[in-house]
Amino acid sequence: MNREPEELELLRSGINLGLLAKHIVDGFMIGRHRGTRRGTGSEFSQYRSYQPGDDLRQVDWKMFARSDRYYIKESETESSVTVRFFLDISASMLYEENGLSRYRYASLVIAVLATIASQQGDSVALHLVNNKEHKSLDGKRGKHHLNRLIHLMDDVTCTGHWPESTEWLTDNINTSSRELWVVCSDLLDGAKRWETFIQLSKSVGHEIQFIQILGHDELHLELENVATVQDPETRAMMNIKTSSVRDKYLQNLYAYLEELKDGLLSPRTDLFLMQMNETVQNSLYEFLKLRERL
Amino acid sequence: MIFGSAMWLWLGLGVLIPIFIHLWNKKEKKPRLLGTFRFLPEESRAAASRIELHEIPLLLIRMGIVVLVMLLMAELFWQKESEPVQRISIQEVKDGEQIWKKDESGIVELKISAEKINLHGWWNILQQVEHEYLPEYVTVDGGFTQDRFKGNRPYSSASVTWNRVDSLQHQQKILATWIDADKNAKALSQLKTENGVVTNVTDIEGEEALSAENITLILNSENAESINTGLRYAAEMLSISVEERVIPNIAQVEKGESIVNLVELISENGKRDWAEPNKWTGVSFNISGLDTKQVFAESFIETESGEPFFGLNSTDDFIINGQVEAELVSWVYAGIGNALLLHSLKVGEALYPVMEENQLMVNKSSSAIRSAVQPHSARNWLFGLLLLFWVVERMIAPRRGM
Repeated sequence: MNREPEELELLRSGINLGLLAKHIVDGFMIGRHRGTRRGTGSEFSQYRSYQPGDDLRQVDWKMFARSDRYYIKESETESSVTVRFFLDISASMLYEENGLSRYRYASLVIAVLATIASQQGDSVALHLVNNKEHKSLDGKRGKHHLNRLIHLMDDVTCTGHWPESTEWLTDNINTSSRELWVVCSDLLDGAKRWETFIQLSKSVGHEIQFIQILGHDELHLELENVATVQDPETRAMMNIKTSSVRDKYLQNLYAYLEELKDGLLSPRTDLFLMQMNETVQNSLYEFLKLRERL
Repeated sequence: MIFGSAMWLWLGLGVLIPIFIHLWNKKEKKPRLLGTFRFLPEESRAAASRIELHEIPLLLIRMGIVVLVMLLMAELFWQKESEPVQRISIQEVKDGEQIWKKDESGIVELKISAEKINLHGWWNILQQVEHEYLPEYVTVDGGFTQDRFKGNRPYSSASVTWNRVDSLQHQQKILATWIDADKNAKALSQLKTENGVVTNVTDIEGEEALSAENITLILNSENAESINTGLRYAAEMLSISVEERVIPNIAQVEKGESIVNLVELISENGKRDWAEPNKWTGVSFNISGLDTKQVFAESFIETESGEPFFGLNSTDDFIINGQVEAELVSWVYAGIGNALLLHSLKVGEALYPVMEENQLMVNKSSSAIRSAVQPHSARNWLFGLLLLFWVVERMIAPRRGM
């Protein structure tokens, strides 16, 4: 007998995303790159007493003037990556499967990835995006920032669709450091809608990871034989005889997914499909394994 | 179209089930969000909430299946289209298939095997003949044993003549013999012909003539002339000698040493009533002076209210209870005389089936007629159609996803 994965059950029950993300991350072997190390850098971390052998250039002379003691000023070495998450909050993210919405699932994916990134010392940024509003959190490090990021995802209304232009993004682009952009969406708005987004990222030299989240029923159309379905974005509604439309539907869907793959894949962009009947832990494990190989 | 088990017709309501299912499928249910909505084929959108053309045959086929099952359960029999006929002759044959034929004069002849008659009984056969042909006259030639008259007598508007034919081997049967007024031996014989059994009076010779007895109808010379005319007519029909003298009763029949009296009783304060046409008189007539307290051992003619008018009392005398209206006296007494003489010749029992009272009760509620005369069961047709419908349904339904 299949037991429903505990993680999805917890997610449905409305558990704090941060806790669940931490629980999942603990299951991973983390440390995909060097992470935080004490040393010189622009971000202040702490003072420590001078020890014989320390480089005199590291002595904080202003501190010496105030306290008449030698202190070495330590800073965190900056991570080489800022992970910028883009979470789709269009109406299609309201799609539910087994009582779990696509938005909730995507939130957990971002929470886990942000936790991993944060633990590695990367700064994380978040953009909640649809055509009507844009909420964002600038890229920073630290636990408090991570908590703010996760908290921002809690109170969101999914509506509208993904914006057609990228004006909302241009003010937030940081061209001074390398960034990894992670887009979490169902990517059902059409392959061409992402062209300008990809061009923008390429122009500033960033890498994009698209994570497409689709339901098992969406991928196989395994609904009851006669069902009333509704488009979450247009609110159009109709009755379908599943068995009579399934073949054509799957043909259309997979043609689109192929088109999407052709449009999105490039040396600096990647696409990974997650199915909502899989646990986030398993999906991300596969995802990280794939990235490790790249 | 007739049904062996009409009670199953209520299953016909089942035709509503496919309609209900089709409408239910069209009913909008609680909508389910589908992010991939736009990948649904265009044609399925157009067909969302109306019954499509291709669904109508499927709906009809499914309704047809329900109807066919109902007809199978209700045991449908085809009924042959036939116009009412005037006369039907039903004859019992020893064996073989049932034969139905209609001659140029419009007489329908049915030959039914003894086995089938034993199975269905005469009442069922008579009922179906009545139902299918609406005849005015029915002649039944065959064996009339008790077991062939199970159940109640069906309602029949036809005049039925029952000819007992005990032996089907012989073409002719002698029912009674006697010596007529001219000292010739006469016989009442039953002759089997193509048109049924004909009863007539013939001259006989040889051994059968030796057993003939003298029979005489004695009329009371003080009777009204119209009474004697009727009785004399009855005697002439059978070539029986008639004498006229003063006797205590209206008439009497002398055969050998036995005497059967015909007694007329008229009650001064008697009831007035009327009799329906019957096999003896064939007309309706008014009766006065009817004594309702008379007790009859056997009644041949009864009034409309069920009072016995003509019959036998306990001493085997024929009683006429009341007075017949003047215009029809001769006619009625001819019929009474006929009954009196046939009874005296002891042929009455041979001509009609002997039945118990409950067997003679008219069954007015019976509607379930087993096809005894024309067994055109629709079962094979129905099974064939059901199979065909089922195959077509299975071919269409999966393709339509229904």
